Parts: sequence; structure tokens; C-alpha cells
Amino acid sequence: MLSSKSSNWLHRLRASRGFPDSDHIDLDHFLSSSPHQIHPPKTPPLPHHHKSNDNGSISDLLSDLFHMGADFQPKSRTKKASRKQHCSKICHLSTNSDARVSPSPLPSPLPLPLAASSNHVVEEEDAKALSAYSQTEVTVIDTSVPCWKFEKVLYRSKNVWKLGEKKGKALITTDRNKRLMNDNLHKNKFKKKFKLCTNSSKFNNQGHDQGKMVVANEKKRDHCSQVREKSFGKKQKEEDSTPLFKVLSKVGK
Amino acid sequence: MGPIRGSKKKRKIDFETEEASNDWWNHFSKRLVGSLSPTKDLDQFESIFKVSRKTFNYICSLVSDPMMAKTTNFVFLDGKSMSLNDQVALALRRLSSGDSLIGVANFFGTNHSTVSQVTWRFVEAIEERGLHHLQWPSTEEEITQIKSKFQNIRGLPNCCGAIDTTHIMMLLSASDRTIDVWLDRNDNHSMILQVVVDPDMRFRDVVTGYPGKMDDASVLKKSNFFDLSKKGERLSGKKLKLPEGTEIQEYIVGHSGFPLLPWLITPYQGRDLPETKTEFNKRHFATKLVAQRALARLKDVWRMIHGVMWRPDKNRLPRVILACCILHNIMIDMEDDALDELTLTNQHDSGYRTEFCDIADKNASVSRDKLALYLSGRVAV
Repeated sequence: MLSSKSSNWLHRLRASRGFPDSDHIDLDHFLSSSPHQIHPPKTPPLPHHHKSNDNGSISDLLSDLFHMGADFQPKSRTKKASRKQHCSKICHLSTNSDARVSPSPLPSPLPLPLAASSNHVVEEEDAKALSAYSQTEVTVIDTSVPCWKFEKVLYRSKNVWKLGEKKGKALITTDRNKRLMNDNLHKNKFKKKFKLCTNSSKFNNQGHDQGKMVVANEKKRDHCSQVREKSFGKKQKEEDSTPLFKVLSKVGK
Repeated sequence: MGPIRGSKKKRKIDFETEEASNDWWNHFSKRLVGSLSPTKDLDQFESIFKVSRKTFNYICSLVSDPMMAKTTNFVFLDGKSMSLNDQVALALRRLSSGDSLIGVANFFGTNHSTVSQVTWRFVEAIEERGLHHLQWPSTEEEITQIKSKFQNIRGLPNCCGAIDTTHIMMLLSASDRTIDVWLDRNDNHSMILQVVVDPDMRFRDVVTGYPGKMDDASVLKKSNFFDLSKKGERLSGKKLKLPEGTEIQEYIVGHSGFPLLPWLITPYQGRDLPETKTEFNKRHFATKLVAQRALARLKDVWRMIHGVMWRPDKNRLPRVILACCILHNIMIDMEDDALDELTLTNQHDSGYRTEFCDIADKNASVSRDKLALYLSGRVAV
């Protein structure tokens, strides 16, 4: 009984929307053959680029402006990420040495004058070639060099060894970068802690609690450095979404 | 090169420092009584520090300024401050005994942290003030002497040095990200030391810090010695003219793991070689032996780099190795009596077989053939 009722309802719906009355619809065929039969519901005259993800944009806006809870995940976040991917200009697809011959998904750039671009191209190729090498930082002593002691980066790929200059962060691996960042944070933390402790001599009576407070402040500060990045991102998003907000508010009116 | 040259005034100062040193040793040896075994003769200064008192005094004078410039006050466990001689003695003991930090600390009556800091300060000081003991010969006279001494070994003319490499073994942490790079062909973790040696077993060029995974030829190619020689800025002195017109440039000798180059002569490879080539190889081997012996002596005297080092700081280790090389040269320059006590061995890298490098320069190959013929007496002078 229930099934006959539901099927009737479905038939009516199909009929009202102009869909063929069958349980096995070849949707692709249908869409390609008779697009004119579909009559989508009328929508407010919004700009085209906001049309497809109204709900997502609004929820984004709301999530940016208000605390929506830990489980809340805006729908359009992933879409934004994919947009960034398409727009990125430098794309290191692979760390293999074959990266140079791998087909690029981007259209090939226009040929530049050789004199202007050759150095850049060589550097890029070197960087790509070296990306296949493992890196080891070494301290080398060579008494034939006037400054007999130097730090180098040794690149290795099987039996091929290349020696590179240690150029600060550029040649430091990500792990080391993170470690350095943490070290710096720790140092800053310590310095700040020391400052606060010395400045807050008038709070000495609070003793242990004061110390805890300082540590808590430092934790907060560390967190802030990350939060700052996030808030910077939010600001950007707010700026990006401001026109949309205006449009939506107009629509609302 | 010898540091004891100069006026009577200098000699007087030397005499005074020697007396002061004797006083220091008389006092200092009492501190060591508890640490020494009863059978050990306390007067055997050399058995503890591996250098004679003369060399010890010279080293103290060499590193005095940089070591005493810093204000850090090192103390023994009884609270007494360490003098310069105490610090040098401690560092020499650490480098030469191969004992652990705690072992050396117990021996001297101090803590291991002090041993570590004093040793590092000494390493920096000897680098700063002693590097002139380790340099490529700069005068024509020096080069001529070296060539003459090499020729006296087994007749190789125009030879300026012998090159060899050794492995400084390490035990690394399994969590070390770069652990594979240090794994050498004998499955040991090691750091490579490449040296060019003169006929007196003095190091003339040192390259170290490269990981054990690299082969000898790769380390050579990365060295500045290679670049200079390739450019003709080294080993570019007087050429030897053979009777039929061939010219042999200055060169060094090395084992088969190195490439055959116009300035680096390696032995003939393969079996059943003709007599001329076999004879050449014998002469070549005898000449090259000085480098092997120098490295064997280095590791024998400065035992810190002899065994397997426990998780060393890989950035500091090359500098410790260099300090040991400088001390090795100082002993030769001072004509140290302690050297007479040492037995000569050729083994510095036990278990490591010679590598074979296929790279051979055509001109070098022709020159080597001419040299082999010349040495066999088939080419008249």
C-alpha cells in the first residue's frame, strides 16, 4: 500500500518536472537530449559566480563571524582549496628526477628570450634535479682552502655526490625548519618569561601562582602566533567575502 | 718548520719554561697517584701524554693565548683552579688515551663536563695557532727535499706526496635521519679522512668530514687539492725530462681506488702483469707506504679517533681529527723522542679492502708506462 502510494507520488513529481516516467532513467542521455524540458525554480538575481554555493558562502561567513562549534565544517572550504590549486603558478608535482620530463598539467608558457630566461631556467632545473637527491649537512675540513673549515650540504643520489652551499633556510629540510622554529619559539618564550618575571617583582607575593600565570601567558602567546596567522587568513576571507555579504544583505532587503 | 729556532733569549725562555714544567709535573703527578696503577712509573711522562716534555712545553706555549684568553675558570674536584699546563695535559690525555670522558675525569680528579669543555677549547686553540704545522710545501727548497726523499725510498722520481684515506668509525643513533649516508662499504658508520703525506710521514693536506658512504675517488674530487692540481696551481713545478723527450710532471702516488691522472699515479691493475709493470707496482707500493704508516701512527697515538666513537657530534668530529693531525705533525717537527718508542705498522683501516677505480687519463697512462720503463732501466738516462 505504502509502495503504491509512494510510486504515485513519484510519478506525479516526474510528470510535473517533465522527466520520463520510468524507473531506469539514463540521466546522461536525458540531460543531453532534452535540456529544454527542465524548468529549474526561479532564483533571485545573484551574480553568477556566487550562484552555485550560496549556502556554503553564507555558512562560511557565519563560521568566520561566530563560533559554530567544533563539529561545524563549512561546505565551501574544500572548493576554495581546489580553486587555489588551479591558480598556483609553481607546481612541483614530483620529487623524482624525472620531474622534468613528466607532462605538465598547465599549458606550456610562451617561450621567453633566451638571454633573459636562461639563468632562471638553469636554476630551476638545478633545483628540480637536486630535489631527487638526499641532503646531508656536513662540516668539511679542507686544509688546501684558506678558510679551511666550512659547512656544506651534500646531495646524494646513489653514487652521485654533489656539494652545495648551505644557504640558510633554503637548503634546510622541513624537519629541521620546524625544529629551528620550535627552538626560536622556545628561546622567545624563555626571554619573555624572564622579562615578565623581572618586571613583575611587585607581584612577588603571589609567588607560585604568578609563575603559573606567566607560563599560561606564554602558552597563550605561542598560540597567538598561530592564531595570528589564522586571524590573518580570516581577515583576508572577510575582505574577500565583503562584497558577497553586501549583495546578500541587499537581497535580504 | 721546526719551532725551536732563534736567539739565545728564546733558548733562555725555553729553559725557564722547561724548569717550570718540571715543577708543574712534580706537583701534578702527585694528583694522579690515586689514578695510576702502582706498577706504572710516574716519571714516564710520555706514557701518559704520548708526547715528550719538550713537545708538551711547546704545545703549551702555542695554545697559551687562546686558551687563557677566555675567562672561564676550570677547577678540579678539590676546588683548585686548572693552570694552562693542567688543561693541556687533560686535553692531550683525552685525545691520546681513547678513554671516555668519565675515565679521563676520574684520572684527573675533575668532572666529565670539564674534560669535554677543556678538550674542545684545546682543539679550537690548536686549530688557531697550530695550522702552520700542516700545510703544502711552499718553497722550492722544501719541494726539492721532499722529491729527493721519495726518490730515496724506491727510486720514484719527481714524486711529491702519497695520498691515502682512512675511516673514523662512529656508533650513531638509530634515530639519526642521515644514518645511511655514513654507512660505508664495510657496513660501519664512519667519517672519511683523506691525507697527502710527505716522506717524513708529515700530513701536507687534510680533507675530512665526508661520510663513509663516499668512495675515495669521490672524496678526492670534492677536495680543493683536486681542483688546484687540475688547474695546474699545484704539482706544477719542475718537470722530469726522460731521455726520449717525455716529460713527467710532479705527482703524488695513491692506491687503485683513486683515478689515474697526470698528477696522481696509481698502480697497474690486474694479474699476470709484465715484469716492467710488476716492478713499477713494487716501487709504487713501497713509496705509498708512508701514507699508510702515517695514518696508522695517527690512530695509534691519538686513540680517540682509533676506535668506534660513541655518537659523536659530526660537526665537531672533523675538527677533532684535524687537531690530532696537527699534533701528529708537531711531534714530527719537534723530532719528539716519543716517536722512537712507537712501532711502525701499516694497518690503519683493518678489514677494509682497496677499492678499484676505472677512471684513467690517457696521457697519464702513457706517462706511467714511460716511467715504468725508465725505472726498469730500459730507458737510459
